[in-house]
Amino acid sequence: MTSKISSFNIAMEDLRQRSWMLALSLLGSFLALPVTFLLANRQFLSSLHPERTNGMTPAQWLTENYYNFFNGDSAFFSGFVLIAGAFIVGICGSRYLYSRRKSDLFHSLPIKRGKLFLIQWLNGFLIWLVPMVLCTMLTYFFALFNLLRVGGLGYAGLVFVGILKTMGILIIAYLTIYHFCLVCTAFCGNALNALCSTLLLGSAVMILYGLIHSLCDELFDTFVSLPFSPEQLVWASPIVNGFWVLNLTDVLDSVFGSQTNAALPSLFYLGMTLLVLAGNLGLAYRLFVKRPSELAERGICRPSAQHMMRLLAGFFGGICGAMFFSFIVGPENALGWQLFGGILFGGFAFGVMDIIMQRSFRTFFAHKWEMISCIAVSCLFFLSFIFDWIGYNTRIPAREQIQSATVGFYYYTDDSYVYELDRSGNLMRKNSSDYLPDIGFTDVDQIYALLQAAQKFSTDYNLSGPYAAVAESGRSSYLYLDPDGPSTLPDDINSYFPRNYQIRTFTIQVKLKSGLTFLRQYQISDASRELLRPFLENDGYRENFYKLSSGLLGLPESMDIETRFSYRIFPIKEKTQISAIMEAYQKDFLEHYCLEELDDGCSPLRFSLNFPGSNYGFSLDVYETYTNTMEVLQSIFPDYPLSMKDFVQKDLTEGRSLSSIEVSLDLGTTDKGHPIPITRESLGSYFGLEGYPDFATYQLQLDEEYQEKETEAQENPENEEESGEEKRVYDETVIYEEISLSITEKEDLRDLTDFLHAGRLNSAFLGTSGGEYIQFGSGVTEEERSFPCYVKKGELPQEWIDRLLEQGTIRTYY
Amino acid sequence: MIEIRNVSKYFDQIKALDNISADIGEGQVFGLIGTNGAGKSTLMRTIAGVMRPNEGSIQIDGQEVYENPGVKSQIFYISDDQYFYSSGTPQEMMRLYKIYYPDFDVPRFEKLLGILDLDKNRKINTFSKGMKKQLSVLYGICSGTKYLLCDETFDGLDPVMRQAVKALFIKEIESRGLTPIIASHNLRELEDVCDHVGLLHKGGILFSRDLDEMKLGIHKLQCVLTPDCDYHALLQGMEQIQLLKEDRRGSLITLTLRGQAEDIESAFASLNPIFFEILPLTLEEIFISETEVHGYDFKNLIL
Repeated sequence: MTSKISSFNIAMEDLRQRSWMLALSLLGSFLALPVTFLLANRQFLSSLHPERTNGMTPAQWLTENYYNFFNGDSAFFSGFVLIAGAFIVGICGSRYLYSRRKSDLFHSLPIKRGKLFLIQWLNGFLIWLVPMVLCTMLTYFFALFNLLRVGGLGYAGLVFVGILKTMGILIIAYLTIYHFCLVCTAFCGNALNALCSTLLLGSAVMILYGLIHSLCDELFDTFVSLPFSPEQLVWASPIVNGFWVLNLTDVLDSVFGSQTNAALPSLFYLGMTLLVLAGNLGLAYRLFVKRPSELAERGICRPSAQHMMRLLAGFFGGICGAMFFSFIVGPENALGWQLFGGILFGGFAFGVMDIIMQRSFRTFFAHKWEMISCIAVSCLFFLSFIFDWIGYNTRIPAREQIQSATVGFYYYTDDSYVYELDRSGNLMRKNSSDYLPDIGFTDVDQIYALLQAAQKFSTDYNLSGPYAAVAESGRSSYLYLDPDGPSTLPDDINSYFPRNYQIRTFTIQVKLKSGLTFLRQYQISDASRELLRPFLENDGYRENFYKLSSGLLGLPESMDIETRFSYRIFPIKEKTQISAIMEAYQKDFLEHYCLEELDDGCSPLRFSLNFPGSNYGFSLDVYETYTNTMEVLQSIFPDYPLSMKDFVQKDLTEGRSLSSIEVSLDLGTTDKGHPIPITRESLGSYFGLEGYPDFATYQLQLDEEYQEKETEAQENPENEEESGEEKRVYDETVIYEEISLSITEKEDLRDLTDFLHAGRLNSAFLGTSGGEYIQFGSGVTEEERSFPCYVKKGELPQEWIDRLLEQGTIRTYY
Repeated sequence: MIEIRNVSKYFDQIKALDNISADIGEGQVFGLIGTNGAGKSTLMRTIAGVMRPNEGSIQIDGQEVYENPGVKSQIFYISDDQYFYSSGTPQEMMRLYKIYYPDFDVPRFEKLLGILDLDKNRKINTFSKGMKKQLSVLYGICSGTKYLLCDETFDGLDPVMRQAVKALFIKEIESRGLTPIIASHNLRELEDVCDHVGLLHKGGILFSRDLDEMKLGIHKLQCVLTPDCDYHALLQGMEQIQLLKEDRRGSLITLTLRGQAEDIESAFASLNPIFFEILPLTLEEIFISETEVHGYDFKNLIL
């Protein structure tokens, strides 16, 4: 044999046999790019009007849209083509391995298997890449043509940079999935097994992470669902990572941008992704070369791989089954159903995997003992979360281990304070995975005291003594802080917990000397808020959570002031005015900045701030106690009242705006479920007036009275006691009573605004006896817009209570 | 030369080849015969480099076969169920083989296609089994390799075509020293073309020797003896003669004996038989006799 075998000819022959893949790839790329671009471009061109381009020139407008297209829309559709392509090419590209006849032919040919693999691998990559590049270039030329028409050819380079960035990301995503598909193809004997192996093994780590995360979130009350970003782990699941990589734009921005602190995790993720990608290629190569020809048409050859697939399927199936029934049945008394779900789903998944691997329905129970063991492990794993065998909820670090701590309150909302600047200096909302920066609070005694108090209470139903009573009371879902509470509960647990307590959730992140982090979520009642105050008054907290105080925000370019009681909006664009307002606000804020988290406050006004170059709005609440700010505002708007009282007073004389105050009060039920009647005494207690018991004590007394009367009613059913205006309701079908009154007289409205407060209350401790402000009713403007009205505890005059009882309508609900 | 040394091959717990050793010289026409499940196809695939032996080695001209493109370029393997492109034509398959066997003789291939009346542009999946076998043989012959492995290739051919293929083989053997290794159940056909045979049984090789030599070494004897003749006692004392098989029908005794014809003749002449004749054995009869010795007896298969 004198002539040499040409690799190029081998590659071309292989491509000929895979021409259908090439055709599909070309079609997909064509639809994802040029076609999508032409459709989107119609919209871009139709929006080329000065009022729609935000002051940009047509060239700038188009450039921005084209840049975003190549980084956004096109990436989405291209991503879809990419993922489908990687699976098809990876699993079907070397499908000769699944056929004995084909294997005999190709393995008898005079070519090394490694060389054959590399040629096929390269073809598989080019089958996707070449059509993608061609279609991208075609789309780019369309873009250039349009830019040329508006004189924006100078921006062509910027668009091209965007294209390159997207292409890089797409290549990484494609190879991530493609290489893993090749690995699984190498140890499987048919396409179905290859596909199942790819999906299961390629997602196993993230499935496990997701299950553990869900179990923790669902079953551990102190769990905080943001311990780390998925990027720290997703690289270990190539199939999931292939999807995740499509979001790599932000990662690349942080790696190559100015935010070096944020770059490290992204750099780690990128590095690991590339490492796994290369590693999988090497592994696939080796497996292909070592693969025995006789594996064709069989399931998975290696017993170890078979065990792993079955066990993974059974374990994940069992956990999912238990969680599914937990969701269907609800958390209470669901243990039996959860175990049933775990056994059923786990066994089913195990058996089905065996069927797929052995290709026979008779193998469902072929590995009975292994199935039983797998189900047992998954059930035990699930139970360890149910019963908290690791002590997640109750464990706290030792005092000597504590180094520093941070607390934070805003995790689930897009709070105004949690902002930062992007690398262009634009304001953007903080990444949700980075809510708790280190505030440098190092008072170990205070940290430990906070943790210790939180540990006092537990959700563990199996504890005896006072905690069992907590469970029985029905309020056992939360952990409470009450450092002054007794170590053993009194006989009457109702005297132990404050009535109608209000709770607030906070997160504490403790840095330990060992380098580890302790992160938990707890809840506090209004009685214990002072334990948190030292943390909030810390300089580090103020700088990190209140951007105003750190000077990070600078001056907005414009702001709107909105009154909550009249829904009027006052735009301000004058720089000196903005500067004066912000300076006054800063001063007020620093005096009262704990207001949002710990204290009660009423905010009749709010600011909406607009910063240059930012896509987000930014809002601030103005509280009644912000006297400096109110002074400056009033000086800017001397003719417009900025408190409800002044507003009502002014408008009453001018005869417009506030039309009524609608009172609607129901006092709910006691803790024991007894309806609280509308009486002088109940209303007096409710509004905290002098001479009446506090509302908590009143309810206790009411419960005792109900108990006595109920006992008497049972013993002497014919006797019914009625006493004057104190009407008692003993009918078990009564749910609650409600009193309502519509106040429309101008004089009455004027009187009421002497002590009514309108605006937004902070959500921390709004309520009845727990908070300082108590809801009275709703104000209604002449435009028929309403706003809530509150009265401070103890400030409602007695005459208004009498008037309510005289003129109001009391309804009883059954 | 193909040297097979102590080759064993396992499929999970099944031992398909058990310590096989054999030599296949250049220019020989080697016939690989064996019982069902003996391991013929496994051995062929191992020689072709499709599978790697678990133990032992297979060398061609002093080099290992497995993962050795240089050696494999000397081999063309025709499997018992050859693969063709699903919608391919003979022309397209030729293109594939030409890539891997650059010395592929295209004009000869096209000429032979015409002679065998096979349409080069017709889809192979419309060919009959026999036509596909013919096509496989053409690819093998035209590839220009030194060794041609044929796994049950003749079994699908009609008698005329068999003769044609045999003629092609003979021509190739004479012109360029082609060494075909043919696995088959059809012993009558092998007898005509092979000059060397190897017999496989239950993964092991029973023998591998020159066909003529084998025929010279085993004979069928038909005789009628006097009632007082005890040939068993005679044969027991003779190491150079081994009784393989014995069959009696009335007074006619048919014996299959391993040994030289002269020794057998002189031994039985000494018994003064009424009648005896030494007859040559066909390859089939040799096969049956040899395997019976190892317990593979058709009588045991009949219920």
